Amino acid sequence: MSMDPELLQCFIEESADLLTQWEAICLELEKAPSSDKWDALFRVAHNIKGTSRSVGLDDVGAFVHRVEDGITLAKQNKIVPDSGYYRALFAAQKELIDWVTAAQANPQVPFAPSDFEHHFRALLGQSTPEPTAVNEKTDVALLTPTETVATPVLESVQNSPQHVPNEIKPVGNSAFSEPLPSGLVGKTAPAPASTATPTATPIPDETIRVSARKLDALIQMVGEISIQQNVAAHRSHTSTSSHQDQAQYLLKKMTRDLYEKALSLRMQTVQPIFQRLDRTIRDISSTLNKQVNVSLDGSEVELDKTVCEKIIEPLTHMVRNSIDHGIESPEIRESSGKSRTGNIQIRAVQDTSSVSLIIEDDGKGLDPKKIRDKALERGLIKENTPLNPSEVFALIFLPGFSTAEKVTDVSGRGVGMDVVMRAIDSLRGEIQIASEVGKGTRFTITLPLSLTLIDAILIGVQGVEYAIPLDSIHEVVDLTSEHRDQSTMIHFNDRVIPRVQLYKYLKTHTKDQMLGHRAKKLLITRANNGMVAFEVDSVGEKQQIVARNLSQNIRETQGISGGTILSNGDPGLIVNIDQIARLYLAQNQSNYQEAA
Amino acid sequence: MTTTTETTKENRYLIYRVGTELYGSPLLEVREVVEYQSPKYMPNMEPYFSGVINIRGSIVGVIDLRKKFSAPSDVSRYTALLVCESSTGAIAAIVDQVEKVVPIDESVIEKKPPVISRVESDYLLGVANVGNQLITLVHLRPALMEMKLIQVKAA
Repeated sequence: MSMDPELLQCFIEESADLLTQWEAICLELEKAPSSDKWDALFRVAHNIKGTSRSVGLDDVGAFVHRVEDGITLAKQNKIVPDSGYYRALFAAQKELIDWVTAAQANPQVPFAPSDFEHHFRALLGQSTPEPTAVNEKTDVALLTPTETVATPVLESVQNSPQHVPNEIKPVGNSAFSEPLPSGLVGKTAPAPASTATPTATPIPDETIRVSARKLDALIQMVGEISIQQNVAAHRSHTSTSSHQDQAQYLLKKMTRDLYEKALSLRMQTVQPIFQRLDRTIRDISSTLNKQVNVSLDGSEVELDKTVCEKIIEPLTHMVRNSIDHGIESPEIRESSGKSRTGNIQIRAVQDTSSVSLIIEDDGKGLDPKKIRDKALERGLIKENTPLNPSEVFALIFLPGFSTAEKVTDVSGRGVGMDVVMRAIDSLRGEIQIASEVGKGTRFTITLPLSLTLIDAILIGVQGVEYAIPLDSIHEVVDLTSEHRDQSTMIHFNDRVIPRVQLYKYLKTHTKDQMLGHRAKKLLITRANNGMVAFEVDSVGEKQQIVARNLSQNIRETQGISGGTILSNGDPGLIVNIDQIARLYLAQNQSNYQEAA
Repeated sequence: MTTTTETTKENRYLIYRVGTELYGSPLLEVREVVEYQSPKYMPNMEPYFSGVINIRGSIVGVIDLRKKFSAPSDVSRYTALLVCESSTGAIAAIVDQVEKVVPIDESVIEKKPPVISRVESDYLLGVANVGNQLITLVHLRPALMEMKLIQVKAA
């Protein structure tokens, strides 16, 4: 089968969107059916059918047509959908999305759903459907086959009161070319430079599809402007004209605004993540014969695209764990006085500089004693290691803790919580656990809003200057002269925490490494609920930095998470102090307490 | 040898000096040559990795070819940085001096020189005699890109 590759690409992208809607609607329908939702599902299916036929994919069209017959029956109340019916709807969605995903890589992949007849029967009940002619009107949300995403977006911008006419001239049909300027114009053009936060043109809930590459290029460019501005500001420090100061101030403010606008283009709502978790929970609970009620809250909260993409696997793993190990079977729940149906609550909460994702279940909770025993058995701690409850929970994140003692289909296939930890760490996030035996468990993941714009402080270690993200430092302690020579421990807020020389984890090749070396400050950090005080030579000013990836061959270096350009124009390295703290704790978990 | 070599895109080589020896690399493998700037130290790296520099807003790692080839690492006004780039990022190499760009015909390259070279054979193109000087020809880009740079990796 040969067809226009561009046309096919268009179809694939559109279908992926439509199939996501399909899944969302099915999830809602299963919980609470309504004729609106049946109509919506029908439109989605009809759309896919129409488009697939228009690009010559008749076998896809025929498949969707048969599913559509089943939807029509339910829509007209001719059958009452049962669980088999919904299973078939989800299965059809999966067949299609799997094919779409495969076709993305190789358009020659044939669409060949196997063994689907019983699903078709489930969709039809016993009756044969009468072909119904529905004169459906496709609304904006469900794009018609010939439209691109860009058009409705443009229209909505042009119709909005804030819009300056003639500002946007459609320059092409590409779905990628318009949203960029329109998004920027809508937010920045009407605002004079002094207005800090111009209200954005409200664009009704539509998806703006922007090529990630273009977006990255823009962000890169704007990042460079802000760096250049920093450099200029630094250099003009010597001249003291007040006019210049003012100009500098404005320039700085504008640059910052512009950069934040550009970054916001990368922000996406967590809704797709929630939908996928909802689906995962649905599928797994039915596999495990558990009854689970999901509640989702805060799906409108936004996160950086990369964060969204990287956090979905860890979250999926965590909800799997919640169902597999947390939520008990209906019988056990009943016998312990709980409702037969377990509850999983997933929430997203936006803070000023971070977003928290919370997964909470009312299952059996984590048993500190069992965790302790297991950690002991695995040699991760020693008999006499004193640990407070949160430190005990943190043990589950250690590599080697969850070595799948019973391999189930659902969880424990060798992917432990340490993988979850590492993923969250790579996003500069944190995870906290609260749990009570018999009551349930709550995981709170806190993620930074942006991965690139960071508040950092500069520190000096062995004559080298590094940047450290401010949010990973709990407190900075001045070392008085009598403290300087005591090396292994420090009392801090009624706790004894280990003192660690940071330079030992940032190895240099200078031979006189220790010569006359005396730390003057301590950075108190908290990793995995364990605290570590790092000795450093100096702590400098706070700076806002733009994080840069290092090239691949130097990226995996211990203790370094990226690079940046400092305000004096010099390159700087960003230290991943959490990673070093965890490394230290992993190496010393069992023996640092003995020294105390 | 009086025959002149016809210049094409492919046969031009950038000739540079490391210590006392001359090296040449296909010109197309070098993105740019920049003035030497003192690299910012990066910890946990191999001794021949000098640190990172800022090239127009990008953080670029610097390999000291002189250390790699056991030559003295003094900085003079001729010291230069050769920048190579691949899809995984850019990397720079310190050399003592950039000499010239010359066309070298395939036929004058001794592919298997009977000498022991400091360059690993994977990256060695051969040795050419240009104007009575022996030049070691190196695939610079892959040599830099595939070099082990990290001494202590993140766990």
